[in-house]
Amino acid sequence: MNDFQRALRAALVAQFGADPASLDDDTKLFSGGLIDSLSVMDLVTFVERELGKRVPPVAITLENFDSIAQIVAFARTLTGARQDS
Amino acid sequence: MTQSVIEALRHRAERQPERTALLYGERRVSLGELLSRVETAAVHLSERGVRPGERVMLDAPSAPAFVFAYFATHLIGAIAVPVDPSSPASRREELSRRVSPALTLTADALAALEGLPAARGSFPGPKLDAVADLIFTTGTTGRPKGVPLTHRNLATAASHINAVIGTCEGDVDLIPIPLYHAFGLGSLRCFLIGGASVVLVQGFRLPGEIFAAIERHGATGLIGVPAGFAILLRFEERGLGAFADRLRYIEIGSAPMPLEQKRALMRLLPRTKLFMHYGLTEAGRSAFIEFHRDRDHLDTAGKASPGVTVEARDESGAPCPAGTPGMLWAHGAHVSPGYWDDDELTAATFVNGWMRTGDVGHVDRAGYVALHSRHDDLINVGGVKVAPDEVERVLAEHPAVSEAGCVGVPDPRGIAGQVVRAFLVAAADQAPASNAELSRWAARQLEPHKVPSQYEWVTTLPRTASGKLIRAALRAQKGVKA
Repeated sequence: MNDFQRALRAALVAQFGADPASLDDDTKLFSGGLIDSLSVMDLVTFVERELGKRVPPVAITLENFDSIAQIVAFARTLTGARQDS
Repeated sequence: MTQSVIEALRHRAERQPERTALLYGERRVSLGELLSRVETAAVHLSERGVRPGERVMLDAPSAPAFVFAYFATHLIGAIAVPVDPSSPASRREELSRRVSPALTLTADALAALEGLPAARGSFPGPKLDAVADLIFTTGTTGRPKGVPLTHRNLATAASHINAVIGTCEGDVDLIPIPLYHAFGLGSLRCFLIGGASVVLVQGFRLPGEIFAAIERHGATGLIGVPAGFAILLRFEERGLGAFADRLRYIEIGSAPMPLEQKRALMRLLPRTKLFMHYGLTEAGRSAFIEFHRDRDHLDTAGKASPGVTVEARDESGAPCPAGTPGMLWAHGAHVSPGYWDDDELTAATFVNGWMRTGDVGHVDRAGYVALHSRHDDLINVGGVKVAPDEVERVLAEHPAVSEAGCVGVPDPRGIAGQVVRAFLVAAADQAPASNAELSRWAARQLEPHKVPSQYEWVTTLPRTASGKLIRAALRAQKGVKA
């Protein structure tokens, strides 16, 4: 688990009220009702602050933001990091 | 002469079979295919025993097959009853008991419709004063109100709305509102008979889906609720602003929009017509405002739609002088004939083609309609109405709670318009419950938007002598502004 992934998990628990016991990398955040879709901007802001990159609005989709694993994968494409980083 | 929406659609499809009707993901449905699939579905529904006047429940999310089944229901003269497939099973069962559907079509049943071989039947088309749709909307007591709308209601409303908005051939309109919602379904009818192509999006889930769909399909029109636009607006120039030269119009509805949001949209989209409607399921889109044109009247709901009269009336039912507040009444060929299975409520609400809206406001000399407040206690969370009674019943069942009173308060995030704030009286001799525990309790029995986001413990709740909760007094005591 890298630093971003750890920080993301911590934020989901502290900021978004996720239950740490039931939050795994594939837990569905929006489609599973864990996070209200109205709060997506807060999550995007967190990602942008952590990565120091702007998230293109067209990229804020369920495909990229519906689980820790998906957000981490998206973060890699955004930062141009290698898959094994 | 007025013709039903399905007849208008049939004529358009016969004239322009190649024109794109629906866009859904990778799929494109032409008007010719739409008509063929509607007829095939109508034959199927008839073979399943659905007769004119009988109800067909559409218990499924937005998809092309929903559209086929919806218009097929109209074609055979039956009544479409759209319901939210994500609502609790108990609610859908209750609606089913009340409407006794001849057939209920779930997402699976609709998918099966897609596989049927093309079939043609002889359908004369519905009678204009027959009921076309039965839409359930939240009532103040939590019991949903069934609102029948006739083919005449739908057809006149659609032609008036298209006259206001200017929908025309070549437009590409994005509908991110579910089709089981009156706003989404109404827009579908308007856009299709206006000759536009409709992009169906699975709800307003995450904003990237909207931006991507606008870009991909070259959308010229977009509808949405204020809560959705609150999210989209946060992306400013790089979000909606990027489409300033593409979006010809936007239509907003279902909840009030804060003035600052209206101004933000105007700044971001200076050349886009920004329409917002005021209406109820019983009298949809009774008034329209266009923000740029009516920039000096942004605090109003605009003027009555073509063919519609809106009046403020006093308690005796007499019209108020211009500018004087009263109960708003609406009249026109779009007004529902009266509620399903509720004669008492019908008699209290509908009088000689007029609907008593339950909203308080005034109409000024120039005809601008200003809304002051909802007359009832419904809470509007992101455009979805919440009956406080239902939430209170659930909270009062928690062992730590003896009484509950819920009101709408402004969403501190400035997104959903209102959120639910619960005032609770503790049960004697019980361990206290945390807010998180109360929210988990509520979420087990209620849809997410009904779960309170704020809680406050009080010693008593204001009640009438007969024990009825007085929410206006509760709001006043707590300094709550809706």
